[in-house]
Amino acid sequence: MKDREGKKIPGFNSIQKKLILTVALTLGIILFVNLCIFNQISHMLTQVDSVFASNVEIVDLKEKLNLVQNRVYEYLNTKSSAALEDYYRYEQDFRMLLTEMNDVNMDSSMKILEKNIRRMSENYLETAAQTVQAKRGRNVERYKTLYEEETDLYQYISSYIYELNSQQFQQNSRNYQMLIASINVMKLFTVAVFVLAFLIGLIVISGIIRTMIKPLTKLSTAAHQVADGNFDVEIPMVYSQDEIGIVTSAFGQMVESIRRYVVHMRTSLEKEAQMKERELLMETRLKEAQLKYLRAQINPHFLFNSINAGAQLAMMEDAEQTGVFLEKMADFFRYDVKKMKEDTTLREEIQAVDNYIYILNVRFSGDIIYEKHILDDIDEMMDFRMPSMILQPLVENAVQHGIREMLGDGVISLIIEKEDGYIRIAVSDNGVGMTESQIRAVMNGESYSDSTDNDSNGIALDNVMHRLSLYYNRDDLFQISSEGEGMGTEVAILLPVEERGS
Amino acid sequence: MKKQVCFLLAGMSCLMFLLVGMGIFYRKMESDWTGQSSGGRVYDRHYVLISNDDSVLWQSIYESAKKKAEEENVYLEWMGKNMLTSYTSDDCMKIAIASDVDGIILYPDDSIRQNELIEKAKENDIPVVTVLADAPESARISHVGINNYQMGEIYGEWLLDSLKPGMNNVMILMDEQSEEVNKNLIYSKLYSIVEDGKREDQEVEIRLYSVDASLNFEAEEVIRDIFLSGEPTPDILICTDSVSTERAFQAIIDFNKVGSVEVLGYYVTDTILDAINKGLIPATLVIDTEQIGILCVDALNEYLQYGHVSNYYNVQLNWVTRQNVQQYIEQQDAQL
Repeated sequence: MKDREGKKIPGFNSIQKKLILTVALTLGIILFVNLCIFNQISHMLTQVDSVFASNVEIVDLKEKLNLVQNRVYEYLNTKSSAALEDYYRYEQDFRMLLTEMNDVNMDSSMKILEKNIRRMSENYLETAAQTVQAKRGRNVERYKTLYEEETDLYQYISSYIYELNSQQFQQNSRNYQMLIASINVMKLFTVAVFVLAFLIGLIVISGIIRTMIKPLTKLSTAAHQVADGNFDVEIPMVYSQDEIGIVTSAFGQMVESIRRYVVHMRTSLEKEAQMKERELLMETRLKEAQLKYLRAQINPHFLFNSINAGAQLAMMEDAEQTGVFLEKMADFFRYDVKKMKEDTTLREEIQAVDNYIYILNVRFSGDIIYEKHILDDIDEMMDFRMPSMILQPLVENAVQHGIREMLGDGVISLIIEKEDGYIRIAVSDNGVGMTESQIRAVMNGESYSDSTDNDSNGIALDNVMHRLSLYYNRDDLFQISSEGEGMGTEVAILLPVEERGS
Repeated sequence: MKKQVCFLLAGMSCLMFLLVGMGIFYRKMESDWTGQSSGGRVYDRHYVLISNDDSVLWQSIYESAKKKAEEENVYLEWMGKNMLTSYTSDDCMKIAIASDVDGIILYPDDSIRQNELIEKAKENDIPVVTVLADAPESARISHVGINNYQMGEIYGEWLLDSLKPGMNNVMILMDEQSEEVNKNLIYSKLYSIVEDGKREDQEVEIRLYSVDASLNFEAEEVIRDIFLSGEPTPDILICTDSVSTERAFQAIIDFNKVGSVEVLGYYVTDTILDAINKGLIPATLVIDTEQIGILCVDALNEYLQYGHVSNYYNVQLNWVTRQNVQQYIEQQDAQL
């Protein structure tokens, strides 16, 4: 099995390997225990086999002794070569058995018995050989004497063998009892060992299975909750690096991804809704402005075509000032109509203001003093895009509400400068000024100017404020300041140079 | 999980403990069996003690000889003892010779047959030491025993202290099997001491009575005869073996002769010590059996090492009286 990166799960971390190792460990323990017990049992069986082996050997010895004695007797009786051959053979066998007997002075009555038997038997065999020799040499006296001696020894050896056999049998019986008792003890040990091995195996296997099943159970519970729509479910902790760990970890990541995706989608939808709302508002305000403008107009094309015609007529009649005036009027109205739905450049806005002031000065015989202050590097930004119909309404507002009654002393200043990443356009007058409450009312959107005013082009100050706000998605781009009544008013707008509101 | 690991470790420890326990238990059992059959210690030499008398006296001699033998790394076997077949001393001698033992400690009967066997043992380079009884004509290398002369002297001296004015009837019970010369030695020495030492107002009549200690109930019958025969009951009855001593003691109680017959015993048994303790018997003569055992083993060792040894080793004789009986009672209890 491979993990997310396609690498094989190392060593012990794979479930397969864990299971194999666990089962192998358990079986290994059981096998080891079985081997120990088996070894013990086979040892004991060997001991049981050997318990009475010594008695069997002794009986064998006695039999061989009898055979030797019988053959000597037979030979002495019959002098047959078969008897002699048998004698030699049995004598050899008997000697072989003797070599296995103890020959040292050991601190054991049985070992001393063995030694005595061995020594006596060696003497016996020597005497028997002499007897046979004497018989072969036909020394009757000698072989008879020797045979008597031999028989004495035979009887002593026989009785000692009997004694040894008896003592060994008693000891072997005691050993056998001890062996049986120890086998019974071993049986108890064995049962205890097997039970313990079984319990250990059970604990090991159940432990391993539990460690595997527990995370799976938790994972399935969490999955159920996620399926029911609860993405805030607690992700099970990953303890192991095996397949279950990987699945759990992947599940956790999946739930986290879903959660983030949901949050992201929610945020996106909210933003989208906000944007749509702004767009709608923008549209509404524009439509409002358009409506107002259109209310003031019958047929804009007929109007400025007519004005153009008038301008031409004036030119033809050498009424130059009239011609210029009519041209500027036409430009002004053309601009108004054209720019209703678009944004414009700073240059065109300033031009519109210039045209407007010219028209007003013609109307009011130059009563309006217009000062335009454009800083040098603003020239580079003349093509800066901004919402249309912003500056002219501000200037109109300054004229209408600021210097209207001032009869030639009114000054309108237009200052355009760069300020901390903004283009600051301030329209100020030296007119009636505004009180704090008036400023607050305007900023709050409460109507300050009457929108049905006949000298207005119809676009109110709050319309400008709202359109700016919609265009740049900010509420801090419009400022009104005044030092009080009669102290003039400055209305400034800030146009962010880097960003445009979405 | 931790709990399980603890259980597992505990279980494995128990399992190993059980398996090791099984192994140790079995090895121990096995070593017990092999220990039994292998015997353990190996000795340099093998001596045998041959005596048909398995009384407490001989038990004591054997114990002390065995203890001494072990110190000298010698295995001492009481030949024929605790065996299913009973062997005579001659049988034991033949077996010992055929078994090529390194030395024999023998309680001889001084018979010709036995002397021949002692000779045969010598031919087979097996030295023989006689104990308590001697076979002076044989090829035995040494004798460890009581000096009968000394015995007579000791009895005589005690008698002198016990004599009353007037006639003193003294009876000596001797083992019939004992050699004439021994009996004579004891008697003659005793007699000479008494005769030389008695006062003028004291008369002593000493009679010798033979008892065949090997025959069952013989001593009892003889003692009964002594008290019932009509002959004057002895004032002092000297017993020269432990069986006679016990029978005599019982008889004086049965015939109500306590206080009128003074029994001088031989050797110590529980009965004799108890009687002394109660004042029923004035004293018993005891040989230092421990010394006998040691001397026997030493004699054999010396002969095998140097090729020669003293012809005779004298064994100490002591009186056990009411004054020192307690220590002998304690010794008896310790042996039990």
